[in-house]
Parts: sequence; structure tokens; C-alpha cells
Amino acid sequence: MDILINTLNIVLPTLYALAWADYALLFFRNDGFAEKTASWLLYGAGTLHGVALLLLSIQLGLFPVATVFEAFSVVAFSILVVYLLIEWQIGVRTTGFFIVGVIFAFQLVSSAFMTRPTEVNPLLTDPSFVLHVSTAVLGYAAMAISAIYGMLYLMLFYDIKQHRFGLIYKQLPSLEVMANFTQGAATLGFAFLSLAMVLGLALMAKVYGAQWQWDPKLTITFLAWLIYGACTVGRKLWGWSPRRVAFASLAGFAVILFSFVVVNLLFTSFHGFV
Amino acid sequence: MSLLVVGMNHRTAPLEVRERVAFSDLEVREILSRACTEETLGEMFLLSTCNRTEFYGLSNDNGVAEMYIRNLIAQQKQVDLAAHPGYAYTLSDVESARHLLRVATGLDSMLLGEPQILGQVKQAHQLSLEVGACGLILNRLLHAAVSAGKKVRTETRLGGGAVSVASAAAELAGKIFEDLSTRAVLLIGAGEMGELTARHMLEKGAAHLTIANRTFSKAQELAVELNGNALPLDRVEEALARVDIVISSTGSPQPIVSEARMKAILSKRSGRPIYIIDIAVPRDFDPLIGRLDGVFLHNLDAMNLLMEKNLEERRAEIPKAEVIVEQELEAFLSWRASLAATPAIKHLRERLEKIRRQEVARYGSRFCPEDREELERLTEGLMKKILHPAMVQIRNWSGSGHLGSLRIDTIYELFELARGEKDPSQGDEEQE
Repeated sequence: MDILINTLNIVLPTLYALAWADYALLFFRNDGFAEKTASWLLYGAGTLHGVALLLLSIQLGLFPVATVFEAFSVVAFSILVVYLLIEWQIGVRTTGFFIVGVIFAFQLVSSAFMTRPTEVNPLLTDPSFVLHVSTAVLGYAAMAISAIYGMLYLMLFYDIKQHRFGLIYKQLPSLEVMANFTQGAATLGFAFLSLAMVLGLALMAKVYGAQWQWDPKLTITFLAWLIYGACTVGRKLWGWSPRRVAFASLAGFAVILFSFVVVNLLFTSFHGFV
Repeated sequence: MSLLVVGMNHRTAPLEVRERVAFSDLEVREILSRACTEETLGEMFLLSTCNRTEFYGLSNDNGVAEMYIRNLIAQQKQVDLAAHPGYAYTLSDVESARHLLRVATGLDSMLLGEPQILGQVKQAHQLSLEVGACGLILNRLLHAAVSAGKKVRTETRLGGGAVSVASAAAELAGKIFEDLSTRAVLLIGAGEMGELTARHMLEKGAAHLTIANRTFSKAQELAVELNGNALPLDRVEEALARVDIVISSTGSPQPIVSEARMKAILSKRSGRPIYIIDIAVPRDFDPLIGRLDGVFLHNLDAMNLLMEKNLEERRAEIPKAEVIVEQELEAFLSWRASLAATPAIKHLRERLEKIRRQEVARYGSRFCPEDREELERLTEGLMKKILHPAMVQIRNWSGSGHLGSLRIDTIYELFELARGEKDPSQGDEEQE
């Protein structure tokens, strides 16, 4: 099984790189071959990715979210599933170039740095912990999608405003579609992160007998949660424009990345990652 | 028989001449019926649009046919083509076939890639079929033209992107709003360009139209015609707070909406975006309004920029469209040449058989009766062996387009074969 997992660890980023190249051809050159093959390549990569995560779960005896690099792979897989659903729903493949690029980046980092834990913390096998991490990872995936569509919204927004009718204008779907995905994915991300935080607080009380504390990671996550909460209700409650929601979603995702990378390196926390 | 086209279009004749030589459906029927009986042209069809009038025909003598068509135009439309030789053009055979294919694909249109021409070609074809003026060759050529037109539309972007103000406005609206069927449109000023743009928005599915005009009665008239609402110009602000798309083309010398007024209007819109197409000169909306969040403001310059960009993209697609035209043309020419193979083989066989019989008759008496049968078999065998590779070659040539056709002509000349009644364009072969 080790050989299989190691092979998949190399195959997955390779397949995602190929799919990304295909989506790039589609975006930049409207390539007919890429139009036919891009989605299938992604379906193939997704199936293998699902198999890889399943094998890893069987081998470890737990859901592979014990380390930040395992979680990266789950985030990549979750983004992929949500993106394929979006592509299937709107029938537009031109945003794939941006999404698949992020999937590839997450999987590449995961494959490059993934290590097997020498000893497994018994907490990691606790079902409520698995649920806590899984919901958090799903939330991050949704937020990543929200941020990408937010970025695309802003790119097209300013192109239309400033009368630039280039590639972005030609290839992207309407502003309304991208505003809806930014908002929808942000709402989904907010819901999953809320659940993850409630489960996390319950776990904290159970394991450490502690209540909420201003731990750096918890504080940063709380900040991201607030931002995505604002994205969710901003338009209805405060009349936010889609542009403001898009900026907020990007800010929220920047906070999450900060939490993933910088806080992990510079601060100490009782929390494993994020 | 050879193809030809005599016509005039936007490049060769001014508008006032094109207007005069435009033929109504009734006139086309009459002309085609008459042409059928007069037999100068074997087959004929007439394409008459606002930008071109073209007579396509099949004739034994293109010079006579050309004169016939020129006289017809002169008599029917009182246009002296002799005095203005540059107005009309004549193209023969392959060039005329290529021309029709280019016309049907929109490559020859005034507005490159415009799609209406394909429908007009189909309509002209139908009319010619109804009158009975369209025979085997023109029918096949028109099928090739329609096929090329469809392929160019689906396989290239020659017709992609808006290239008029009205369609550019609709294209931009579609980039902002996903579904126009839920969007309300406000037309400020009932001028021609604004009305055209509003009509285009409705054609693209916009849900509702409100028309505000200084002369209220004019707004009411247009509202009745376009199934919308009329509004006095002084109540335009209340509509601006409600609608999604605004088309403005008043003759006001000052902007009718300032930045401050627009800010106040936006505060009532709960963040909903508004798309303003300001095609008035001087402009109706203060340009600073374009900086406000939630407002997309485009003036005539922006529209022109988009149209020029789209036209550039269309021009870049010309080589792809030309390839499709050449493929369809080659297929048509191969088919036409293949029509010549069967009679050519038949004529060649008859010619050789005649020679064989003559020679056998001349020298047969020198053989004893028992050997005469052998002589027949021997000469028949010789003839078959000589004919076989020639037949294979003629069939091959018949499938290789215009060059093949020329080679078959050489066979006719080489063996002094008579064409006469076996000309394929007479329609004695398969009918479609």
C-alpha cells in the first residue's frame, strides 16, 4: 500500500498540473482539444485523489487531517468537488484555469511535504475531533472558492468599469454569476466554520477542561469567521455591493492563509494547525 | 455549361444605385420565370438584399448570358450599366462559385460576418426552387454555400461579438446581468438610436421598458408600440432608483443627472448595480458617476472601443473562414467533375468500339470463318485492356476538382469525342 500511496502522491500533482495546462489553453486560446479534455482530466484526477485519501485513511486508521499537509490535500479535494459541481451547473469552463491552479498549488505543497506521523495522538481518532477538522477543512475549501470568484469578480468589474474589453472580459461569465458564487461559497464556508468552531470549543472543554481563550490561532480563525459572517449577511443587512463582498471574501481568505502559514511558524499554540 | 455571376454590391455601386436595382420577391419570381422560358440561362437564381443584387446562372455562352443579365437590369431598373461599367462585376465559373460561398459566410458582407445574409441566401434559393429556375448544379452549389455559412458560424468566431451600438449595449448588459429577463430598462429620450438600443434589449429578453421623454406624447406613442410605460422626464429619478439598465439619448445641452443626484439615487437601490448606456452627445450623465460603486457607465466612445475590438477579432477569424470556403468549394467542384466521368467513359468506349468494328469489318474477310470469332475476341480483349486503365484514371480525375475536369476535357479533345446530349448540367444524371 505504501508504494501505491507514494505513487499517487506523485501522480496527483502531475495530473493537476496537466489539467491546469489544459484549462490554461482553454482560457487563453479557446483550444478545441482542451475544451473536450479539460473536464475529463479533472474528473480522472479527482477520482484518483479520492482513492488516495481513502487509502491514506485506511493505512493511518484515521481521516488524513492530522497534519497541515494532509489537510492541504483534503482542501484541494474539497475545492475540486465544489468546482466540478459549479462547472456542471453553469456549463462554463473558463474559470477553471484559476480554480485548478489553486487546487494544484495545495496538492503540490501537500505531496512535497507530507510525512507519516511516527506516533498517533489518540485525540486524532476521536470521532468528534474528526468531525471538527473535517468541517473546518470543508469551510476553508468553500472560502477559497469564494475568494477566487471574488477575485475574478473584481477583475471583470474593473475591466468593465474602465472599458477594457480584453481576455478577462471575453472569457469570464457575467458579474452576477460570479457575485452569486462569491456570496454562496462564503455562506457555505461560514456555516462549516461555525460548526467547526462549536465542535472545537466542545472538544476543548472535554479534553482540556478549558473555555474560549485568546490563543493566536483561535483569534485569527475567529476573525476570519467574522469576515465571512459579514459576507453572508452584508448585502441583506447593510446593503453591501457585490464588490464589497468580493473584497471582504478576499480579505477573509488572506486571514486564513496568514493563519495557516505565518501564525504556524511564528507563534506557539495548543492547536495542531490553524 | 459554365457558371457565372453578374452583380453589384456595396463595394462597387453607391447606395442610390443599389436601391434602384433591388428586386422584390414578386419581381424575382417574374424574372426567373421569364429566364426559364427564354433559355439563355440553363439555371438561375437572384440574390437581392440592401447591399447587393446578384444574378447567378448557368450558361453555354457566358458572354451572351452576361449581356442578357445586363440588359435585364437596364430595362427593369433603368440603370445604364454601359455608362458606369464599374458598378457591376462579372465572375465566371470557379470564381463565381467561390464568390457565392464567400457571400453566404458573411466574408463579403459590409459588416464582416453578419449573420442575416445566410438567411437571405436560403430565401433566394427557395424562391428559385419554387419557380423551377434552380436545377441540379445551382442547387448543389447553394447547398454548399449554406453548409459553408453554417460551418463558419459554428466553427469560427467570424460572427462573434457585437459590432453595432445596440448590440454592443446588449452584450455589455449580458456581462453584468446573467439573465436579462428579470431586468427593467429605462429609455430616456425617444431618439432613433436610443429606441433601436431599447428594442435590442427587449429582443434579448429584457423584462420591461419605461420610456421618459420631454415630449410626453411621444413617450406614450413609443410605450404603446413597445408594450412599455411612459413617464414624464421630471420623474426620471424615481425610475432610476428602480430599473437595472438605462439607455439615455436626450438632446439636452447639460447633463441631466449629476454625481450628487446619482449618489442620492444609489442610496435607495440597496447595493443593486445599475448599467447606464449614455449615447447622448453631449452626455446626459456626469462622467464622474462612472466612478461610483454599483454604477457601470458607458458612453459612445466605450461602445466604439468594444465594437472595434470585436471587429478585430472577427478579422482574425477570416483565414479560418476562408479555409472552410475552399473546402466546400473543392467538394462542390469534385462533385461537378464527377458528373463528367460517366459520359466521358461512355463516349470513349463507344469511340474505340466503333474503330474496332470498322477494322474488324475491313480485315475480317481475310480470315477464315473459324478464325473470325477468334479475331472478335482478340480485338475485344485488346480494347478492354487499353480502356481499363483509362477508365480508372478518368474516375480518379473526376474526383479531383477543377483540374480533373480539365483533364477529362483533354480526353474529349484527344479522341475527338462528341459531348452533345451527354452534358451533365442538362440534368440527365441523379437528381437531388
